[in-house]
Amino acid sequence: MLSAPLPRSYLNYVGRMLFALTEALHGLGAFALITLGVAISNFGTKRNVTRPLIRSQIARTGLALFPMVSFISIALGIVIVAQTVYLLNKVGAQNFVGTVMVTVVVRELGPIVTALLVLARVGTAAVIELGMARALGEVESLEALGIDPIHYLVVPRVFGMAVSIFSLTIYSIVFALASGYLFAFLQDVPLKPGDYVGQLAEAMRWEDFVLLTIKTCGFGIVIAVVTCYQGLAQPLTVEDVSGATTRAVSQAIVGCVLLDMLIIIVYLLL
Amino acid sequence: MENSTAPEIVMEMSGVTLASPTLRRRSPVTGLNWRIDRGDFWVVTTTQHAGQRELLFTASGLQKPEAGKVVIFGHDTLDLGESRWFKERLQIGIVFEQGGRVLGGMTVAENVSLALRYHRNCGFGDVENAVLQILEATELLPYAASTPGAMSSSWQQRVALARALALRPQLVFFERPLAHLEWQHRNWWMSFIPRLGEGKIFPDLGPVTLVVITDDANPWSGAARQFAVLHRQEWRIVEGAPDLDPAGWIEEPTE
Repeated sequence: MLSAPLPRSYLNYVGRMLFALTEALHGLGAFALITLGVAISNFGTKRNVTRPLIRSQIARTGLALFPMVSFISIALGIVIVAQTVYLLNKVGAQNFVGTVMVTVVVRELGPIVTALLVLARVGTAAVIELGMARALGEVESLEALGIDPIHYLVVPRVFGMAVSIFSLTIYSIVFALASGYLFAFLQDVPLKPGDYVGQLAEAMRWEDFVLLTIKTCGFGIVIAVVTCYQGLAQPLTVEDVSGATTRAVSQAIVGCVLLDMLIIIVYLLL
Repeated sequence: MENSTAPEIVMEMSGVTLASPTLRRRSPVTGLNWRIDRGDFWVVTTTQHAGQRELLFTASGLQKPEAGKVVIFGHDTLDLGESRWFKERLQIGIVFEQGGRVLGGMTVAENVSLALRYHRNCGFGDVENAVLQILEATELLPYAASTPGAMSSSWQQRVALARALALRPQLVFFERPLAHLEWQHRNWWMSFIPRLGEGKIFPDLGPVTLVVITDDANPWSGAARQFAVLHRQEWRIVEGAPDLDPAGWIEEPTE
């Protein structure tokens, strides 16, 4: 039974999926390169128009999301950090608190949770906004005015999201580490604040700061490129916008996780 | 000695095959030859799915032809790079149909000022006078702070007109400008467009070359000077405004 060939329909399905994956990778890669080219060739030009757009993106992505990221980080701190501190303390491994915290919160949870929150709140809105603009012909009207849609619509989003995710991640890490310790401290865990901060400082290396910057900016670029690609790079009708949003979310999640994995592998190998 | 009265060619298509933007259909028109001289007022009458959008996009340089040559303001669209072409395109204005595709997230004044601010790299204050002049000419001044979403599609289309005129183009395309308009707006457009062509709206700009793409040429029969039809994948330059019934536009081949 097991040696029987798969029904043709399964193979067709797998084939279609592979073609779709190849097509998506090709399209995203090309779109990312075009965006990079436009960003470089137009660097420093039209500043009076693009700077307010970047500021607006930072306000929408960074400032508007700050309360939500703070709340999630504080909750995450209580759930994860407090438990970790409590458990390590219970088995007499309180000296490893700093190392575990830096690995879990600074390197992994902080950046990825922030990126996912930005994707959910701002990325989806970007696909809908751009998809509707595309479906209603607003993008063509920009081209008719001699305005490059990549320069006007995509580049500010890429810069805005990269800067915002980096900044929000820093706040997220600080809030998670502080709230977690505060909760553990209130639970009478015998770890003094000075020792806790000392362990964190000892566990952090200069590579962590570099890694954090690359990772968070990378997440911002991935989310911006994927959402803009799905909203802008292909002809859409109003009915297609919901499908484009779903595709953008799944592709951005996969993209962020792959980038995370790649960075960690490179970091461990080095 | 060069003839000083020779007309200046604004746009010329030679043996053009129009490409469909969606690539889902075959090219609608092949072997298209069309020349627009400075000061012309063309009315192109088309039927649905005849290639109206493709013609508009190709003639305005928004889209490259599938085959043939399109020369706009002396530049072959196939030879120019994308960035250079963006600059050349500033001499061409397009007013799209059905509300004109104005940007919904901006006010009327912001919509009109966008191209000016972008190309001059300046803030709104630097182009305010120019914007106010255009808003006044198009009677949009009372709506300067309104968003297009709060206006009827007739007014939105007028915003699109003001936006297209902001860069003071030499050649303006109108896509079905009278379709879906309320009657008082219809009268306004029929009075405004010929005056724009004659250079009476912006005297500093001089006469503007106009192309109206429509499904009914009759309202323009008194104002326009050149007529063409696009029907059943065929392009013809005709004398006078064609009838409403497209059956007589293109002669049937005799057996």
